[in-house]
Amino acid sequence: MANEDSYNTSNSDNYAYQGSIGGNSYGTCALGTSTVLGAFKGMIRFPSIPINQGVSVNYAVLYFYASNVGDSGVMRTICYGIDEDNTAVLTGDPFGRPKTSASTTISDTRPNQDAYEDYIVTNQVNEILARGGWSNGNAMAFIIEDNSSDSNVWISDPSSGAESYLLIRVSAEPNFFPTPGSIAVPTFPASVNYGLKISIPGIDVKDATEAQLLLTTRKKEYKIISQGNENLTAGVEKTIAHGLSYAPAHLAYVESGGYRLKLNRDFLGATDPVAGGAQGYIGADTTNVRIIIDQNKNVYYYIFIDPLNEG
Amino acid sequence: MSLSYGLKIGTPNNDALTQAVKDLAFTSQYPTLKMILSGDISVTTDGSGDGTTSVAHNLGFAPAYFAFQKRTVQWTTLDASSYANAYVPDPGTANQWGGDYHHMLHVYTDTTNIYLQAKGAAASTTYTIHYILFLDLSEAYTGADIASTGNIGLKISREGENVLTAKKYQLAYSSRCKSIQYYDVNYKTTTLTLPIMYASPVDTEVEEGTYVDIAHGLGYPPFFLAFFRSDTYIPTISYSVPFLGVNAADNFSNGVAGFCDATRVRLSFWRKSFWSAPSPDPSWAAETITLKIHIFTEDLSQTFSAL
Repeated sequence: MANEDSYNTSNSDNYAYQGSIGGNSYGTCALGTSTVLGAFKGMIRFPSIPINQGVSVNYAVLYFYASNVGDSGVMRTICYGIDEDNTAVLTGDPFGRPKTSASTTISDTRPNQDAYEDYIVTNQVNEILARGGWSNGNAMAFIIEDNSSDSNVWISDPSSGAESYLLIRVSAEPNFFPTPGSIAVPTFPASVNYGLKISIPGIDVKDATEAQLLLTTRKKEYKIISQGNENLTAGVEKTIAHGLSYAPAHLAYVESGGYRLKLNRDFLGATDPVAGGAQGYIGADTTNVRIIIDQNKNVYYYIFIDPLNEG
Repeated sequence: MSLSYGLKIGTPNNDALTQAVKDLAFTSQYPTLKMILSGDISVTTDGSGDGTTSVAHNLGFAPAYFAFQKRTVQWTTLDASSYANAYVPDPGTANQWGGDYHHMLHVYTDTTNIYLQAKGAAASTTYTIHYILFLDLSEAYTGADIASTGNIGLKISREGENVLTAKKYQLAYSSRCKSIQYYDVNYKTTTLTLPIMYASPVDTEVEEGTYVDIAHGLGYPPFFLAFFRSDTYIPTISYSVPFLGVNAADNFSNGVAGFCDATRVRLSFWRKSFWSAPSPDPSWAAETITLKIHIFTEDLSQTFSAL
């Protein structure tokens, strides 16, 4: 989505590291410290960041992929941004480029191979974006310096897999819990002295309360336009044409273990006490009632003439 | 096809002869659901959270039914308040207002009983449901009739059936049973909208939700049916509530749930997104659902028997 995106870089010119003993290397980025190559400064660059100058992003995270790993232990590193408008590819000797004042210090158990070390780099990214010379589509880079990691604790990512990435969410989170709505109490129709009214046995229909009525034409009821039994195949949606021009109210029961259970039925993988328990859903569109269940079972359905597109 | 015989009653100030069938207050052209028994069933679970209880109906066929769990509801994700004496539809299907075990309470019928069975629910806990049974089928059946208690009242057979010999479950209407009815003013439509959402490495689990309270004005907890249609998730189809979609492949869930009490019918719309490395970032567009709600005048706190 427009609001959040991740950026990869597979070009070998966008990876480099420097070992305090071994010197500069290109096409791979290494973090931590090695008994052979010394403490690392790793650099990774992301070209074409499509964010305008001056934007303050909500957050940004650098995900560094541990394609290869050294010994187990604690890896201590500090991550800076490269404080340039449009930092160049990582050739020559890029390790002396200016760093952002913002940094992220991590002291963390070395990630397992094929896992990620993550650096929250929101402030670094915002510092770069705030530069007057930054333009939408420019490149930004990060340098991650060792900060006394345990002996021979390191990770590295070659450029080939493009597994490391930079994730940037531009805007703040939306309101995930909108203000609830409400619908006011309706005005009921006045009682009338015409129509049909049937009371329960022993109650004078003229004096019967609403609860004592079996039927009154002051109100409506669902009218069954179709009902019947269908044998369904697991996972195959059954469509039943209803002949109406609107989606009608509907109801269905699935046979399972000799019992009948109302749809929808979805017990989320919990133990079903009914042998061979089935789950499924019923819905309706303007042409059909649609039923799908997860087993070969009988389903008994009702289709009502009452529409779901009015009210 | 409209028939020129039978009983047809229009709504006030409408000509029954010309009013659309779907708008009539009553028509013998189409059968209705015929309520024959309602009441409560409770089960107290054992140390494993299991238990079963049943009520006999002895209809000889598995009847259609509805069930609501009776409980105090609270879902603090959306609302810190709790609501006593509330009714949550469809045990056996996830409905967040019904607590952690609503989907572990199974209600079902056979030829003799309606059952409430808890399986893996909370240990040593009492669960109560209110059930409504109909003199209508939930299975193919052509067997014997139920015992009759006399030839009084109003009885309307289906087209082609002799009303004097039709079996009771074959009737279009019988005043032996109670009709499940609603006022037109308590047929409601409304929408709920949730904004774009995205889980990320920083917020690995993001959820969002909202609800609408529909004041029904009845003064007791009413039987209700609700349906929803999404503008993004299979937008042509209306599904019944409650509904829970779990998309494990995309680390995404959504659900439409609800309950009622003596004041309101509440319907909620909820979505949740997960992030797990190294998957792409799941982002979900804003989504609006349109809800259709029939609030009937049947009181879920009352019992009824025509057996």
